[in-house]
Amino acid sequence: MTVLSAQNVSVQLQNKNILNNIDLLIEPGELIGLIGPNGAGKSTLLRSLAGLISVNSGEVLLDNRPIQNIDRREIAKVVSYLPQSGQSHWSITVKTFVSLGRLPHRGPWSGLSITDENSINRAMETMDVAQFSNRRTTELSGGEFSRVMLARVWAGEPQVLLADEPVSDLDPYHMLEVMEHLKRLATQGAAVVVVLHDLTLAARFCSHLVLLSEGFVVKKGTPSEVLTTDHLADVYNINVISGDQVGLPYIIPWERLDQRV
Amino acid sequence: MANSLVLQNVNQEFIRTNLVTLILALLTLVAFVASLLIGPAAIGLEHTISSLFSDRADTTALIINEVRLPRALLAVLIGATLGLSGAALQGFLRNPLAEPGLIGVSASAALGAVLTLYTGISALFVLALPFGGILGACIGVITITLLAGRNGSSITLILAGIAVTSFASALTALVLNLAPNPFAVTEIVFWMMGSLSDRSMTHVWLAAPFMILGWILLLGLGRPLDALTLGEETAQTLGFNITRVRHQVVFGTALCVGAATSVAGMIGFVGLVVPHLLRPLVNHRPSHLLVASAFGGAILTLAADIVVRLISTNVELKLGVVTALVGAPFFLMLIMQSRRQIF
Repeated sequence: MTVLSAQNVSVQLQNKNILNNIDLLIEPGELIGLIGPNGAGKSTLLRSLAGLISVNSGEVLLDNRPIQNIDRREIAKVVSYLPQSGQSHWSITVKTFVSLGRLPHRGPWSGLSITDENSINRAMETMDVAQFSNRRTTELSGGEFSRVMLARVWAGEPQVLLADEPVSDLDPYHMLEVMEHLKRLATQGAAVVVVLHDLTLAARFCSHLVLLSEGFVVKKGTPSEVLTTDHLADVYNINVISGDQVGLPYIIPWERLDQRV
Repeated sequence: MANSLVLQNVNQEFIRTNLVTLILALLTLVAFVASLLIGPAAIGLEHTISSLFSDRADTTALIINEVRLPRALLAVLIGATLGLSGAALQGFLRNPLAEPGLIGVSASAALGAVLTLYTGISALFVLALPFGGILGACIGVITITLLAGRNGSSITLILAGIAVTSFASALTALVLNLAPNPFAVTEIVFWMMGSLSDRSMTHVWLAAPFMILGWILLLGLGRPLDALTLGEETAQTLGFNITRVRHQVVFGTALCVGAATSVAGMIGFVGLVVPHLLRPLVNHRPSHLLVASAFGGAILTLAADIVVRLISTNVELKLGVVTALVGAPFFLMLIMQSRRQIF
């Protein structure tokens, strides 16, 4: 079981403090939602956790080893990263694109093994993209491509999944579906960290939430601890309508506080 | 059922890629033989083959072994270099407009080679010329990857290419300007135009080891280039060290293009045209494009060199002139096609 953690992490980019003294423990089985307004540092935190940017102070640890000391290939076998605006620079087929998720697991000269094949097919089925596996990535709609990108990550069968706004381009049906899949992945023992803007999805699907504002953690905990009216007013400057539907929470942003009549 | 269907698809892609490679390899062989057969002196297939495998020293054997064989071999080596490095640079920079000639690598290599000629170092030891070319090419590729390696935007790449090409050309012009001997200048200018005529087996032996070393580095790039389809950051999270990949691209390209330019001058556009034509045949996969483009480049260069020999003018046309005459309009067409993506 893989444990990823951030210890007292601070990041400066172009002399601006983007993250300040972040502590975060990501354990197997958790679905952690990173929420907060634009520019709060969510993506930077995710990229630090993926080992993509070097932190200015503190440490990101993968199983108690500093991530910058671990070989990239070794990290890639357990940690998958899904960028916010992913792209396909060449017009390859969906199937080929998804199979790139198996790259960390393949030997230097070997082709796709049966295990690889099975993972790729399972990932395509899960993300509902198998029916257009022979289409080209450059010909897909935004939502279709988002699912193809998720399938690519899925095919790697990661123990830790870091996803930056994976549902923001999806229609409501696929939004719910992807959140269910992320939750199931966590239930199966993976650790999932996901950047979200939709507060209802965050409240309903995540086991833990981290509320960020201006590079600081405002509150960490269960959704009911984090998503209080006060926190949302403080951080987002909004009033929300919230309630329960068959025991599951919903939160709808309703009005801007500074515009209230 | 669904599983076996998808498996079939993979096998089909695998078979198709290998079939494309096989056909290109056969065409390379055909073009190579044609290059040995075609020339001002009519020599039949039988005589050609017997000359290749005997120690005879008659005129026929001399023409085949001393004139046509080195020329055909160099066409294969240089063509494969240009096609392969074009495919590798395009994959690394994620840009279909990258090519050793256009982005200034050939011009930098030429500058390096000209400097060894001008300073007389090339007369001191025989490897100085390829070393000069490789060093020049190295500086050219490093500059380009520093200027345009990050985001892969076409505009940055083309502008960086123009900058590197103009600077290298300006320095070459300066060297020529300062040259005391007008005959040397003419010779250098003709050499720079790019040609395979009057080359000997010495040229082949001089350049081949560096080119093959460069090929090995570039052919090893398949996996990382595939991963780079997803962008630089995602490729890193798939386990590739981008700095190491960049070094492999830089030194691989510098070794083979530098050596190629130092024996044959600047031959442009092969590296642009070949990967572009072959990309659809290998399902747009950067890794599969590498070997295919190496063969494609060899075929195109052999064919262009045969055309040069067949067109009868008083002075033989330079190969580099012909590839530029065909390649430049092709480049223009590519820009028109991809204008939407560029701007």
